Amino acid sequence: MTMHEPYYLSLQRRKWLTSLARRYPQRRSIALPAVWAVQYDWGFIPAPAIEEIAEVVGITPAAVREIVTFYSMFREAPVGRYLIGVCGTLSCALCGAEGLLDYLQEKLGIKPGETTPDGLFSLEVMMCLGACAWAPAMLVNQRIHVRLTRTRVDEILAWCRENA
Amino acid sequence: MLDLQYKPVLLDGVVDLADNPTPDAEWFDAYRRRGGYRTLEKVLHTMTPAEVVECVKASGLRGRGGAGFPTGVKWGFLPKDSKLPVYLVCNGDESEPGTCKDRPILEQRPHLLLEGIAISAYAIGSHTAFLYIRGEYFHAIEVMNRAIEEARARGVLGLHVLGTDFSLDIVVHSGAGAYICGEESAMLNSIEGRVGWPRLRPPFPAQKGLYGCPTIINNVETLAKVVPILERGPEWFHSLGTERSGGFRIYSVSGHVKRPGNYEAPMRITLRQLIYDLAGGIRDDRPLKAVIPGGSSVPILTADHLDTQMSFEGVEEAGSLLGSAATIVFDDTVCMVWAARNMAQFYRHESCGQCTPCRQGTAWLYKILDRIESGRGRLEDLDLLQNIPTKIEGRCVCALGDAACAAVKSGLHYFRREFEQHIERGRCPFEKPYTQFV
Ligand SMILES: Cc1cc2nc3c(=O)[nH]c(=O)nc-3n(C[C@H](O)[C@H](O)[C@H](O)COP(=O)(O)O)c2cc1C
Ligand code: SF4
Repeated sequence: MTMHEPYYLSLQRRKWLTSLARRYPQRRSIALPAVWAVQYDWGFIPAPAIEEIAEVVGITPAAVREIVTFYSMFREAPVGRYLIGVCGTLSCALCGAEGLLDYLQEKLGIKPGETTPDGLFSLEVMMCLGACAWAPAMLVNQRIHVRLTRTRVDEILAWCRENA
Repeated sequence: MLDLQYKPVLLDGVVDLADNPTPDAEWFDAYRRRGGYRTLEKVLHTMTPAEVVECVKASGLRGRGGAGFPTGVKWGFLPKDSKLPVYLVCNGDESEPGTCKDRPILEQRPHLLLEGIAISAYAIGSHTAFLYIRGEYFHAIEVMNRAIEEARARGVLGLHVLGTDFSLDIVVHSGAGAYICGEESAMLNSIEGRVGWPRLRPPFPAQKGLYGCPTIINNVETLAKVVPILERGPEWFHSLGTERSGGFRIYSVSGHVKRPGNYEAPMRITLRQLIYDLAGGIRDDRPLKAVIPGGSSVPILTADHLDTQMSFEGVEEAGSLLGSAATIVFDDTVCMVWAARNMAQFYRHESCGQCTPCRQGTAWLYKILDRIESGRGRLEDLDLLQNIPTKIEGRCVCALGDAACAAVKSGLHYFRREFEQHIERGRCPFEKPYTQFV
């Protein structure tokens, strides 16, 4: 078996995973953290990273692939600089989420699942984001935005463009 | 009569997300200053684990994650003679639509939760606890990790907790977008580094759970409550609620109310008080049409049920379940077919696909509801909607399948005429102003 040089998982990431593994009774528990680490550094899970993750965690590539495809936050293809996830579930839907999604599609000129040609924005509909009492809500990369209005969405998009 | 002047315990000092989407957490020193970790200290120095379990039993505390199982009784199910390590898992997956009550605890009161986990771990003899947080809660994950670092540095976690022989590590495990991982046995698989497929029971986790070892799984709010219970005594806690529903709980009120939010209240509160007194009543003073009282997985209630007591037994008597106590409020403009379709879409997306009745059934429910809502429904569809749940319920590994049927069944029960109107007119008869974004 060929051992993979640190590539998708840097040496630093591997060290961190090794120390994390000591806190779990079984090494395979670092499978999700390892996939997360690749996604943080690369923005998605490149297909060739699967074998390297498998080797570091000590499970089969098929088991890693299963994880990547099962959990909806893991992505197999790159997305834009800002991934906008609009909550589409009941509490948000009762408070304008359908209109919010239309508004974003109109402003960005893309549909859910697409990325703007400049690579800046991707749009997705997400399942309940746990912000039900502050609807409508959307996640922009790691940050939740709540009680959205047209004005607020305009501000957020402008901020993203300025800070890209 | 209920005293609405009740002062919050868990949400004390918590900022509403609408006022500040990135509020500061209460860090170690601030928590310590207001008496934090004193209860853990008292427990470790003066109580045996069995006494802690007895105290939690006497408090009448029942699980806040959904099923409402008595917490102390669950802890008592652990085998007494096992040589295997015992694990504690804190469930912070919070993905049940309508539910947003664990978020403020995770984001703003991290040390209260750590203290609750520590006391509970001591009670059940566990030295490793896992805190599973849904992947979308990036901020909560960061806060909890930092709080754990602080607690270790101050000797509250680690080899000698507060200078005693008790040792405890708490590990944050991040999910990655799968509602089903909130189901306790799926969560165990996810922590083990597998896909989140629920496990067949028996064996129950208390016998054979994480890594095949005895495991207790409790919700974030449940474990946070262990602190005030041990601090002020089980009688105090129990007496706030009812005989069968001890204490208080956090109700997440969302939908068409004037002041949506998390309200911590004694479990004697009625639905009317919750909606009209705490949440300010219905938006624009419109009539109330329906309420889902316990997260999207429980049957819908109507305006006729406003005097329902929001205790486990009260909501059950009304024909629903208290579940996660997430109260979703619908005014009279809501189309019930549209609402049922939204729920069906959620469950179709979140079914793990392991059981055929759930995988296929949730897909069919969505497909049929979508066709009725978009005006392509047939009258036979109503029979199908009635029939499909009988093919799902009780035939699956976990409760998701049953949960997916709740809104459809109760929606049809109370609002059948609306479903028929969609089919007769070949279109949705509602204007749905609430879908507008301004
Ligand atoms: C499909 C499904 C999803 C669930 N999601 C959650 C959840 O997000 N958070 C939670 O605490 N419990 C959830 N539960 C309930 C857990 O299985 C479990 O009963 C609970 O965490 C036990 O803790 P408690 O006794 O403190 O309530 C879910 C159950 C099912 C069937
Ligand atoms: S009932 Fe549904 S979600 Fe639960 S195990 Fe079966 S297929 Fe998976």
